[in-house]
Amino acid sequence: MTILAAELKLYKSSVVNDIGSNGAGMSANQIVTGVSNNIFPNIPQAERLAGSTKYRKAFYKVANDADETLANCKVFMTKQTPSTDMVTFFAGTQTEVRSTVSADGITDTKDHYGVGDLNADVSAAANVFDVLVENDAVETIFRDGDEIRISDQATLGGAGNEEFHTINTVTYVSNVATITIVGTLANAFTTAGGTHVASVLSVSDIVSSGDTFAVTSTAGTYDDTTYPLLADNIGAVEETVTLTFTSATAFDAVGSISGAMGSGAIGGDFSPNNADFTKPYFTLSTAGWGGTWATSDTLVFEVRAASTPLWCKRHVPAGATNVSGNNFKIALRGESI
Amino acid sequence: MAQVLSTSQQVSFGVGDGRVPLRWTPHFGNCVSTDIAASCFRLYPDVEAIARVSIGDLEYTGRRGQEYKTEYITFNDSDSANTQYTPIAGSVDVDLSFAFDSNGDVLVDISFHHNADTGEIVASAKFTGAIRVEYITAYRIYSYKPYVDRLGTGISSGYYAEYGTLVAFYQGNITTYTIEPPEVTHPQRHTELYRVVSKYITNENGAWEYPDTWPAGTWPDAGAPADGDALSIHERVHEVGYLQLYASGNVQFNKYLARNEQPKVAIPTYSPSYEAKWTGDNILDSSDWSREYASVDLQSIISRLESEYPGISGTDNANSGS
Repeated sequence: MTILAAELKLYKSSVVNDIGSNGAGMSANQIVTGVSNNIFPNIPQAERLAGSTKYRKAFYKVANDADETLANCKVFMTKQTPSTDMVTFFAGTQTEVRSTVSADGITDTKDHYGVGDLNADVSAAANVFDVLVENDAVETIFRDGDEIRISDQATLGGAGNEEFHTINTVTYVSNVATITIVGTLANAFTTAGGTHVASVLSVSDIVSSGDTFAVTSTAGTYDDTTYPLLADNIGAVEETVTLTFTSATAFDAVGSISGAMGSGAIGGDFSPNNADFTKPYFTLSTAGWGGTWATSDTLVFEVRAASTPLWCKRHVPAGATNVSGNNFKIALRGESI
Repeated sequence: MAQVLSTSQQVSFGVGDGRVPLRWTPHFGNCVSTDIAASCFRLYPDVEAIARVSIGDLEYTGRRGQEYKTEYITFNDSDSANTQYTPIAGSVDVDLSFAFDSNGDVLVDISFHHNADTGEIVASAKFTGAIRVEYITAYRIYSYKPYVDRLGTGISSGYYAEYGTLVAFYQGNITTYTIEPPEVTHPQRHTELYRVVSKYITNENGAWEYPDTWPAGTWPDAGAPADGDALSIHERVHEVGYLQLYASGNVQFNKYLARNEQPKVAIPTYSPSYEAKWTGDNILDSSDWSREYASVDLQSIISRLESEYPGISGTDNANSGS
């Protein structure tokens, strides 16, 4: 069963605040498009006048019930905020918190990705064009070798053209980036047509899985090569799972994030339920068990969630303009194989 | 064959968009004001709003208060609603009264939380129904004095007052409140200005005058109670001065006398320690007195009090008033 676009969902992190613990793993709270404050809070007047920087972590999840893989994944922005604030994003890891990304909550050393507007019309077959970015002094969003997306589509996948290219060189004069691409444009793009140019973050295939099996037993074995863990794209949580035997055949399961997952036995497949989604975290095949297990033996493995983590960063300059309904758009593009 | 698919999410938030609903209401009860003629108003919530009035004088008294509110609010196929006043974060308690979905089926599994950024009560799902909300809201107090001026000259002269409209502005949100003149169906209003008091003491055997330098002073009465007796100190009123405010805006001074409350002392020349207690703070220091009460000669009132009540205190500092 192929993946549907509706199965590509964005989720909040399990910790959302403005201190160092912000971030961590993926929560079960979906970020619904268009809902106010779905990632960032409002900017009260005092904060707007003083300026601020906030980080928020989000996860693109492939919620496909057949556990299919989303390949050739690209994340990019398709719309910058209309206000004078600036939002960028960068790649994260599944469990990191803000303090490991930015010690002071303001600066970091990550490669940021964002979107700007085409600054002057460009013809088909051209390989150089200018892009107006919001504030290069805050974050640089284009670098040599980066992939970019240039598009005049008002909605993702809608009417208009979309091209992906690689930056050969980029130079900045103030907030205008002059980009020379490898190859040439197939289409002409205009400023009047609302052409956006975005830097593209390529991420690895998104699918749930399990690995790093470790057995602590005198005579027990588990063949994860022949019988790999079947993690569930919808129910899996990125965590370490420990099975501790309570007899020669029975065990208790505990996830480092999910906590107690119940008990199982080697006589049957083990599929603990994730109550947040009414789906199993994973299925461990009964056929994988071998040897002789004893009380207190353990089997430890890692579960990989079908998600890719991102950090969004919002920079509000002091005295930013007052805008109601401020927003930006972020997108995931991939291939169902 | 690979199939390309994509999704995008619009991430929304407001810049300076956390609009706080403002509301003026009359403030009844004690109000610290520099002038007893002032009316008091509350501005909800307790934010540093810009407050103005179209005519008259508006002053932020520096007082803030909190108030418990209980109200029922309705949801009409929506997942958010507002209370009348802005709740303080963390003070909101919600009880679901009833809820139906769009098919008319009864819903019971709905949770609520207060979004402190927007001030909204947010439900976990859209529904039609009502909830009971208990919360605490905060306000600021402003005092207001109307514009008063003399009308006419000579024997036909009088005073008139003009009342304005209050305006508050905060983060793009604005509210107004039109102040109504005093109730004209009543011919006049009384506003207490001061009262002259002195102290006496009672125990189970009767009443005695209060020693000037209590507790070490000399008892002015014959047969005063022995030291150590169980005593109670009381305050008696000798005179109450008040202002009559007429519908025309004219103000007139008058007084009640309590002759039967004169000192119960055997020596006719005895005079207790009188004290003038004023109903408003800083009345005697108010530079607005002459404009507000030009027809009331404050200095003559004070002179008369000092003449009729020898040694009276409180005539040079109205802060002694309660």
